[in-house]
Formats: sequence, structure tokens, C-alpha cells
Amino acid sequence: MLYGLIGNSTTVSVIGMCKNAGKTTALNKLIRACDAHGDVLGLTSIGRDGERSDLVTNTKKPEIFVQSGTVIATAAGLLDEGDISREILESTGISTPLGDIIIVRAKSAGFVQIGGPSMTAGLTIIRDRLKAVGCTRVFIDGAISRKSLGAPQVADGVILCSGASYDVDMRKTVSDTVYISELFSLPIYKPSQKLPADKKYCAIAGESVIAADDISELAPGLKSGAESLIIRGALTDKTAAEILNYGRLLGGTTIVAEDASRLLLTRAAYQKLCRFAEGFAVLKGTKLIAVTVNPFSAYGSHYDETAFSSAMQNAADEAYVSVPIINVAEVCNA
Amino acid sequence: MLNSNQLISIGFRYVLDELELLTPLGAELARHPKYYAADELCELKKEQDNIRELMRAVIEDTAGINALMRLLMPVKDIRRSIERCGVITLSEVELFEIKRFLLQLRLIAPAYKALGLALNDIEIESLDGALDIIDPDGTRSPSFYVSDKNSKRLADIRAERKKLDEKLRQASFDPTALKHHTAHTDSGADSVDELLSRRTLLAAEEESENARLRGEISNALAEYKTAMTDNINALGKLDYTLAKARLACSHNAVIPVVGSSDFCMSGMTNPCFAASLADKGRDFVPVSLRLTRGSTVITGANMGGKSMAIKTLALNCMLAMCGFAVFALSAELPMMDDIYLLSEDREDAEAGLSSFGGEIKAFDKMLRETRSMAAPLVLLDEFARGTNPHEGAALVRAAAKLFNSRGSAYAVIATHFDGVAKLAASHYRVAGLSAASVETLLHELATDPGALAKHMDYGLYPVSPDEDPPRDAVTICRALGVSKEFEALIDV
Repeated sequence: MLYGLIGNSTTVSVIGMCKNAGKTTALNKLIRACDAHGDVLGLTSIGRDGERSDLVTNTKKPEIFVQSGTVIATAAGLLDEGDISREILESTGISTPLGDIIIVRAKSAGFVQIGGPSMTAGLTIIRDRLKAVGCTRVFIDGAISRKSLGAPQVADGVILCSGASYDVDMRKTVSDTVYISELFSLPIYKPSQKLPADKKYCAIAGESVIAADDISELAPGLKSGAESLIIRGALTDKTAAEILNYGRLLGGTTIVAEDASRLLLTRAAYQKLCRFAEGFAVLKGTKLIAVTVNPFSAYGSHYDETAFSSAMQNAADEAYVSVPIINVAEVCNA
Repeated sequence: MLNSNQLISIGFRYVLDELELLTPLGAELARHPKYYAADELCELKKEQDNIRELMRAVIEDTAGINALMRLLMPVKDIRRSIERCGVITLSEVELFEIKRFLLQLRLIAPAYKALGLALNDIEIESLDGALDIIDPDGTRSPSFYVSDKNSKRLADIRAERKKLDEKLRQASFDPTALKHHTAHTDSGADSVDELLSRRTLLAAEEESENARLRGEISNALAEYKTAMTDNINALGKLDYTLAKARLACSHNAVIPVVGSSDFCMSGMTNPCFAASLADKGRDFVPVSLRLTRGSTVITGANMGGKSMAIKTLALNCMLAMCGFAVFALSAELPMMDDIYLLSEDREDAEAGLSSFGGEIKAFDKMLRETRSMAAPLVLLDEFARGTNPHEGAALVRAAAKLFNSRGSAYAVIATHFDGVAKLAASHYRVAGLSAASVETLLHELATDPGALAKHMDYGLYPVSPDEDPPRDAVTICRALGVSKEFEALIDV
């Protein structure tokens, strides 16, 4: 089911809202589906994953199990932690605390530990190397703290994994997950004018484009009723506060970020901006493929399976986020 | 020996940074260039011959050199892994790197031979025997996998593992359901749990057989340890020497005559200073000096470039002694035991000494170290500038006399104290502001703040020992635009 949703996205980031969110479960399911469909699969991650016992919470975690033929980019120091029979294809020279990232091909099925690069730049290089050795599908395993994973230059699709381990309060888990989903589902804005790339702010009002690094210089443009305010780089709470100084001028203006990974706003700041502006959009989009939910908590406070799924579905509907919600507990029993 | 700050201040570091090195091995050689000692004239000449030969090839066979450079680029520093052959079991990644190196060597060796270069002590040969150990199938593919050919046992384990993998796949084994899954399979009586434990066992057996075979390969490679080390060192040397030759070609540098009894450097330049002057739209004026044993004095105006001249001499002597081409029209110099530079860049504050105290201590240390040397180069830039002119001049005169009487060192003393030049074996002057141009200069300065540089003659000319340094400090003060209030009070 999850596989069917991926469609023609060739690089998919699987992002966990927290540890033990059911990400590896979802990944393993996808890996088996790819094998069944004859994809040549490439796997890497940001940071380390696939540990038998989670290093932080010491809870048992399902490991990543690959089939023969899968190509893996992982730190040299983690190769011996897995048990595949392997062929070393490349040493990338991209270093991590656990050694350089090595690209290996599985010559048998088996468990692997994946620890990829810690920088987005390294990740795009590795994705390209994986494709160069013949991978038709690349999965990147990562955590929400690495928001750059959702950047369009890294991946063309995102699967967001949420679960009871996120918070004891199910309502908080649901609302935070839906907020992130909302950011990944923002509409794409096509500017009517050519945009200067080197200024932080840029306002489009009819035919005219005003760009500046200081928002105060944009005030005349905003006063005349700009259709959009485009923000380059990270959109943080600090940026939001600057913009809110001109909040009254924003009626009818769409706030546009480069892509969802640049939206580093807290939910409160985002909603405040939403109240003043016409809405939010992005210049480049990453497809949100699915949200997976895991009712089991690593800390013992499990949610009710059906209640969690339906709460997530309802909240998504309310936020006009149209994305399939998939229960990983069902996924693994399927 | 010049310290690292001095190597930066004379522009030597800048030159090293200009070298385009292709491998980490060449880069390592360039980090600490070898200074050829007085008794290593023969080695130094061999290095010069190599550079000369490579300079010829860079010009005459550009395509061949470019091809060789492309082949050098992927070479990594795997000396540690080579060192461990026969000592411990190498990891798969290490064996992979060695295989990559041997494959690259197989490409480099013929390309290098094809160039037909007559280079001293740089021999590169393909090591097919070593490659056969690491790649018994002879596929020569750029990946590493312990071949089934190495052991029947390994081949058997892998074959069995393959069958098992297929069974697990048929059972659509779900690794995430390890705990709560006592599954049924449609292919025979084996339960998933049984298949899994057999799989784990086989994986462990394969790993141990794999490790045993890697141990065998590592031991077998030990036979080629010396050959591999020699080759990788030769590649580093080739990279470093080629970078020197390419730098020489791009800067029109010349190979100096070393071990000469003459010391004559003509038309020297300094790429570091030239680059920073070029930023200000000015040219570096080449420096020519002929030195004799004993003292040579350089006098001249403030801001006239005495320091630059001394540092340019230091740079080119240092380059010559490290087996580089020099930035000069022609250069002939003796073997120098060492090069010393005393200049205002010294940092004594940490030692708790005043700048004068620090300078005198450094000077004394240098005197002791050079006492027994056959031919050191000693460069004093504005020595004793930190004390009163009367005694300062006496100290500099004493230094000039001392080096004259020792008769071994080549000492170059830049000073504007009076009465030093007449004690020296030879005397150079930075021309400075010509008398005729002073009035014009002051006139022009009103409109053009850069006029000073235009009227300053930075050329270095031999003059009679009796001539005292020029007196243009006041003119230069005016040229720099000091306040009228101050200027009115100057009473020379």
C-alpha cells in the first residue's frame, strides 16, 4: 500500500517525528515492496539508524533488512554491525565520526546499519552516486530535526512517520504532526515576475518587484497591496516577528518560502502570520507521500490504535491536508 | 632556520600554496619542503634536473602531462594499510583501497613510461602479482569482494545462504515482526524462526571464513609491501616535482646554479608581494644583488622597499635550497648551511621581553649558531631600530664588522643608520625620491594621494661605501599628509 503511493518519486525521505515513530517499520515494508517490484534500491540516512537497540532510549528496535542487490551508503565503522555478504563499490571520502561513507552492494539478504552523512551537501552527492551505480529508487532515513531532508534538492517525496513515542498526549502528537504535514503540503507559487535571487525579501505588486534585505524598505510595496512576499533562506520566528511589524499591510498577500525545509517557524508564529496574510506557499514543493502512525510507544504510554488513526485523519481534514494516513501496526501485520 | 611566521612573511608559504598538488602524498611533501644541507649538493642537483626535465615536458608534451595528471588525481594515501599487510588482517575497505591503488598504478605506469622522461629516482611500475592476490578472478573490476575462488568452503556457505534467502523471501519474512510472529511458510515445514536462526548462523560462518581469507590475502600481500611503498612514494614525489615544474613554467622561474662560489641574484621577484601590490595597481620592482662573504649593506629611504628587498632575497634563497626554481632572471648561489632573518615581524611579547631585548637575544643566538657554519645567510632588517640612533648605529656597525671579520657568512644588513656602509664589503641603496621630483611630488599630492608611490624609485643600486643614507624622512612625512601644526615644528 505504502509502495503504491510513492508513484514516480525516485528519492524518498522517510522522516520520523521522533525516535521509535515506526520509521524503520515503514522502511522495511517499502524495501520488501521494492524487491517485489524489481527496483534496484539504494539506502542511506542522515545520521545513524538501524541499531538493534536504540542508543538513546535503549528500546528494542526493528532493524533494516535488505535483499541481495540493494546498494547501501553507510559509515565504514558500521559495516561490521550488519550481516550481509557485501561487495565494496566505492569509498566516497565523505567523512563521519564512524569513518568515511562507503558504498556497498549486498550480495546476500541480511541486516544492515545505516549511518549516512550529517550534511545535506554530502547527502545529495551520495544520492547521485547511488543513482550512478544503478539504483532506480533511493530511500533516505532521517529524523525531523534534520529538516533539510525534505528539501527538494535532496528528495522528491517525503514520508512522515509519527507515533505514540512523540508525546504522552495524543492531541499534541496529532497537532504537531499535522502542522508539519501542512508545511509539506503548501501550494506551489509561480511568480509572475522574475525574482532577484540575492535579497532576503521580495514583494510583487502587479508589474513591480521590490527587493531588499531589510523589510522596512518593502513597506511602500506592501502598502500598495502586494500579491506576494517572497522570503529567501530560513523563515524563523525572528523573521516572522519582523514581518509581523507590517502585519496590517499583509491582507491579500501570500507569504512564500523557497521550500518547506526553510520553514523553521514554531506553530504559534506560523498561525499568527496566517491570520494576517492571505496564506502560505512555496517556490519549490516536495511531495508529501504519506503520514504513518504508530500507536505503540517505546516509553509504555500506548495510544488506542483506532482513536489515533482517526484523530490524525480528522485533524488533517480540518487543516485541508489531503494525505493518506497509514497505521504501521497494520503495515507490519499485513 | 626560518620559523613558520617568517616563512609566511617572506612569501614562501604563498609560493607553496600556489603549487597545484594532485595527491595527498604530494601535498604532504609540500607541507614541509626538504631543505638540502650543504653536503647534499648532489641530491639538490638531481632534484633540479627532474624539474628541468618536467618543465620541458610541460611545454613540449602538454597532452601527455595532462593525461598523467588526470591519472594521479584519484591516488589516495594508503601507506598505513600497506604497512599493515602481513601484520594484521586488513578490513574489506582497506583491501578495496589497495585494489584501487593497484588498478590505478596499472594505468599510471604505462602513461608515465610513454612520456619517456629521464627522471632521477622516480620509478613507477605496475604490480600485477599483487593484483592477482587481491583479484584472483582477474576481473580487474574497481570493487572489492572476497572471491568464491579463494575457498570452497566460502563458496558452499554462500550457495547455501542464497537458497535460504530465497526461502525467507518466499515466506515473505517480515523482520519488523520478529517478536510476535510465529509464522507459517508455504514452502515446506521450516518455520520462519528456524530459517532465521540458520541464516544468522550462516552469516556468522561466512563472516569468519571471510575474515580468515582476508588474513591470507593480507599475508600474501606482505611480499609486495616494499614494492607498493616504493611506488606510492614515487607517485608522491612525481606529483610534488611536477607541481614545482608547472609553477616554474607559469611564473617564468629559472633553475638556479647552486654550489657556486659566486652569489649573484639578478631580477628577483616575489609573487606574494607582487600580488598584493597588483591589488593596489602597482608593480613589483625586481631586485638584483651580488653578495660577497662578509657584510653587504642596504640603505635607503623609509618606505623605499628595503624590507621587501631583503625578504625577496630570503624567499628566493630558501626556494633554491629547497630544490625549487627561483623567481629571478638569473641566479647563482653557494650552498648555504642555513638562512637567518631578523626583522620587525618578531614576536617577543609572549616571552616578556621588550622588542629590543628580544631582538638582541635572537641576534646572539644566531651568532652562536652560525659560528661554526661554512656559509650561512644572515639577513638583518633594521637591526637595533628600537633603541637610540647613536647607540643603535654603533650596534649595527659592530655587526657589520663582526661578519666581515668572520668571513664565512653572507650577511645583508638593511639600515638607515649612518656610518655603517663604509664598513661593509658592498653597499646598495634603494634610490628613493629623487631630488628633482620632491617639489613636483608635493605639488601633485594635493590632488593625488597615490603620488608618493609614483615618484618613489624602488630600484636597488650599488653605490660607493662612503655615501650616507638619504635624508627624506621629513619629505615623506609631508607626503603622507601629516598635520600642518606638527610639520611647522619639525626642525632638522
